[in-house]
Amino acid sequence: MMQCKKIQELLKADYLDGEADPKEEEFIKEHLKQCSECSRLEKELQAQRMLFQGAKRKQVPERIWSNIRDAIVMERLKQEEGLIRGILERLRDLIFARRPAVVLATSLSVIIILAVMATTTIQSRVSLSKQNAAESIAGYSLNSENGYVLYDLGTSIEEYFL
Amino acid sequence: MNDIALDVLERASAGNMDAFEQIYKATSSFVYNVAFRITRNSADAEEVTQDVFMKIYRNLKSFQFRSAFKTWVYRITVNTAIIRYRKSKKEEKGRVDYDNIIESLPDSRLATEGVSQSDNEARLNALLDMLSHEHKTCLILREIEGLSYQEIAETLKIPVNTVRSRLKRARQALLVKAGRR
Repeated sequence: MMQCKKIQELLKADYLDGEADPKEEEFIKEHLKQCSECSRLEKELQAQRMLFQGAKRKQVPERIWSNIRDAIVMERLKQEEGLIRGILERLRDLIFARRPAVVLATSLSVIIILAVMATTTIQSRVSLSKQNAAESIAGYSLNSENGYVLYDLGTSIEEYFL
Repeated sequence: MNDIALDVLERASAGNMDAFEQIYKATSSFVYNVAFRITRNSADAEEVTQDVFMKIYRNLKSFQFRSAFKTWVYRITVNTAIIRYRKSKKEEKGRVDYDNIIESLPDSRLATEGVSQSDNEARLNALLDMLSHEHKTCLILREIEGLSYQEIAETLKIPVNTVRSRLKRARQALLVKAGRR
């Protein structure tokens, strides 16, 4: 009985699948000749196997390959597009990169240029104002000498600038 | 499934479509049939087959040849089909009628008497549906695709003894369902 249990286990796997070693197989075959219970199990397992072996293999539909080929072509196109987009993005990054050092240098340059321009403009305006002031005070003085004073705006400071 | 020549694999991994088509021709029958048996549905089997070959295409460059190419294909197929089967089962929960399944289980006449192909198919599908996906996968790889214990073990990344015990349990379960044990 103990032997039958072991043999039945072997019948359900190694023996049925041809994975038992030759000695084991020979031993089981001899046992099956004598044991109706084990022999019946073996027949049932073989019948079960016939069901699987009788299963017809399915023909692979032809459209599957064309679908796969199309999907691969699409994927390659996307990869190429991605590659081009990647190159363009890197170029853009290189040109318009927001790096702190570059931003600082650019800002400083702009500030310096604006400061120089502002200084030049202020200096030229100041010199023009001085000239105008001198001219007007001089004018008033001339008028004073002639005894014809329209406005007497001259001060000691203005005289100092003259 | 036959082994595929190394140069074909190399050319395919370099993007050669003719070489990739050779791989497809050599492996698609296995992929489609295993997918069909696991998912029990031709639309799902088609989807799984396409997914499997897209995965092969995308990962061929990184395939390290640590395992045989066919084992790699087996593994991708089984995993993709099981994922699809679980998804479909979730979507169609409650659809399986177990009374009908038991009624359509095979009997001992099957091996000796003429049974139509469609009956055979229906019974086979009904039988497979009664098993857990681990048992079912082992049985499909062994009985329908004829893989050795070693190949099944490598495909499913399980020890050979686990393959052995799953096959035993699957066969025992089928006998019990059929009322013979």
